[in-house]
Amino acid sequence: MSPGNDIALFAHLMRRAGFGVNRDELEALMVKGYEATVEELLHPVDDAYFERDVVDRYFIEIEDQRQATSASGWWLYRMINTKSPLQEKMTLFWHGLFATAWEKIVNGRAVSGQIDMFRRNCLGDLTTMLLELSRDPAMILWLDNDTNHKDAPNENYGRELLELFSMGVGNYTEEDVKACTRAFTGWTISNLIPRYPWGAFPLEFEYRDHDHDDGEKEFLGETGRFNGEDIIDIIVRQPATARFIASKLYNFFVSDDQPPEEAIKSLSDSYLQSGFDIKTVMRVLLNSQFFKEARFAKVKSPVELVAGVLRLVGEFNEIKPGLMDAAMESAYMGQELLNPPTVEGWHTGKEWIDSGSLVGRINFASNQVGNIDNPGVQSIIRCLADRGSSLAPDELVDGCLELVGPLVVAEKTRRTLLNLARGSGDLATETEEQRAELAQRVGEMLQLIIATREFQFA
Amino acid sequence: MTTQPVSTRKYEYSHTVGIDDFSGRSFRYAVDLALGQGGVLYVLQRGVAMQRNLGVKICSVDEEYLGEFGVYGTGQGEWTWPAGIATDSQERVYVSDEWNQRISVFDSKGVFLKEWGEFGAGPGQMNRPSGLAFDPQGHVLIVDTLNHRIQRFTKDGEYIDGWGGYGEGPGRFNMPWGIAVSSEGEVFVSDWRNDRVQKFGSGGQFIGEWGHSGKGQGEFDRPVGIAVDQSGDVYVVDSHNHRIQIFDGDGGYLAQLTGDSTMSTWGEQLMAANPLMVEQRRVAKDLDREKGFWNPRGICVDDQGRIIVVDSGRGRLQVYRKLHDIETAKSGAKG
Repeated sequence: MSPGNDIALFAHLMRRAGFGVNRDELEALMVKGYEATVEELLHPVDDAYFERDVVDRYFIEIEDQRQATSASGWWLYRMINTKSPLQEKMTLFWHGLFATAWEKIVNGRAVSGQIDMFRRNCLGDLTTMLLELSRDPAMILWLDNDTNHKDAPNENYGRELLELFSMGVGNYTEEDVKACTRAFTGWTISNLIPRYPWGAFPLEFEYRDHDHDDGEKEFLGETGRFNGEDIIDIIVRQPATARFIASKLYNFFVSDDQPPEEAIKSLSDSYLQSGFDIKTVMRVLLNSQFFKEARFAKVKSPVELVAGVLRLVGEFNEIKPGLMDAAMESAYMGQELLNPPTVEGWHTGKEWIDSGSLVGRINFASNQVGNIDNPGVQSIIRCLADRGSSLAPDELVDGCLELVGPLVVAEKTRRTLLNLARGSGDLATETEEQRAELAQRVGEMLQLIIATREFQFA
Repeated sequence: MTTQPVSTRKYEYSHTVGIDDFSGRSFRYAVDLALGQGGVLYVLQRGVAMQRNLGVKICSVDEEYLGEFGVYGTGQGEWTWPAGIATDSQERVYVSDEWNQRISVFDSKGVFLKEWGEFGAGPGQMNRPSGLAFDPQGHVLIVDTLNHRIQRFTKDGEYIDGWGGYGEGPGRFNMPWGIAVSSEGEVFVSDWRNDRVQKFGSGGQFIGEWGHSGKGQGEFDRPVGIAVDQSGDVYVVDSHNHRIQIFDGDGGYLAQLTGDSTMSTWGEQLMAANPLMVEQRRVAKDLDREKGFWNPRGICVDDQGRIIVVDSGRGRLQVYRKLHDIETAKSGAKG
């Protein structure tokens, strides 16, 4: 099958490079073609269509950005309604990699400002991203660079920049950590206004020359009176950084498994040859054979599951109460946006699943797809009802599997679904009463499908 | 205290009421306020604050905390998206709810009395009611936001009349929000998404308009609350410009207020119980940044000329006094 005719491939692309799309959107993308779709994903459009002023009018907490929940509610709303899904997915990638938690910052505007920064730079060059990260007030507070002084260095940010954010352990020495730390002395935030009695104020980056260690430093084999910018310039051109970023992108977008050497080489070569350009790397990744073949090779993260289900059922396509509660659903499953557990971010893959989180995932998705008034579910029902004067059990099962994905399930799973569908026999679709009955059965079948093992994979 | 530059009136900052917090004697996500008798204020909250706590905080302009009422929900007497609040001559409290599409009425202690309203676009129906005000006859005017119009009802919810419709021309609206009525019955509406103020006669006939999008004098970035004082001056909450602009009744620009907040009594008491907070404030620099308004939303002017601003983004009310009231040359109004 050519890529242009493979609807499952387009569905795979949109699950990974976004949060899934419905059948109509899939068919429109197939008309465009695979590579053209990838190019569209790589070029986010202006987001004025979100009408932020209207969102703020109805959600004063989003306008205010005082709490992490309001900032994450706004982000979830973007994930559901975005016209640039890869932009939101890349932002989520960087949020997981440069994990910064509200719990320590306690300043909603700072953490949401960091997310905005990730979104702005998500497909740009790594130099700019790391530079902005080093100047980001939330990161400065998170890793204590505001206490990294010329005469009293604090290694927290310098160490994590190398270990967790760019190169990985084993690719630098303790002396490099010290030099890196010294280069970022004086990179701090303007004086904090206390949170009480009137809440947190926006934070701003401030460079204090008098607190910066301007002495000579030796870093990764190079010598000079390096400042933070010089350190980042050296970091981004390291082969270890290329491999680190390639590996992180592979695990986020392709598979939970160990990346094959061929894939890492391909991605790191594109990184180095493009001048550290993430968009170029993502173009290579999304067009690669290893990406196209990695269908259902990743456990959906809680955020992917929640945003994907809400997109599928058409919930929160408009502004309505309950958005902040919806944003907390992923937290109950182990992934609270803007509040990762540690600087290492979330442990992904099979670690997303335990007995508690699995029940939470299934209950959430089941409630959504079981609500046959949801516009996305209505659309699935209409599509199936319009296929003929009646629907046989295998047509019900296969139709539902097709319209929630297409989702490929094991033969044993399909047989179980089919046995359950046979309990209702053929479903007629001609009268209003018959269609109401069909709607109920479709809702129930969708609830069974989202409870399958296969639905937990992207 | 800072006195803002004015043409012929003078305004003096008086004091601040409140602290920012979710529960008890504090404000969080306050959107509007209404005046009661004897300096009583009914401050309406919404959003997460409403879900976790109670929607209306009752206090006095002299910083006395008097109580709270209002429950989140869709049942009788409950609110989901409360948007506007007003009091009638008997100090009954009216609250609009943009999600439940209705007006609910309470006595001055917060006891539920009745509610009315129906979703739709026909006469008397509503789609996201927001600003509320009473006219001199005691009828309630409601901003019917997504129908882009103003409707007038009796206190019992019987439809009287209405005007408006979507658009940019005279008498048309784009998601209007705040409303105020002068003692003469003239109606002023903050035409939120058209970034202007429109003035109507007591029967709804268009009289004039002023303002357009921008940050300059007489320009607006999403005007929200609006009030008119006893001499007919109009106070507009220019929310995204973080200021209050003051005009004469024909739109002639008079002054702006940008915030002068000082520590409130509630704040002082909070500090007294928390030495760590005192120390944090002692070492902090640039505390002048605390003075300014941050996304203000509501405003009222009482019969003593006290201007009370809902400084929503800071969980407080800032109170000013109008010192002089001298006739000014009128300029700037269109229509």
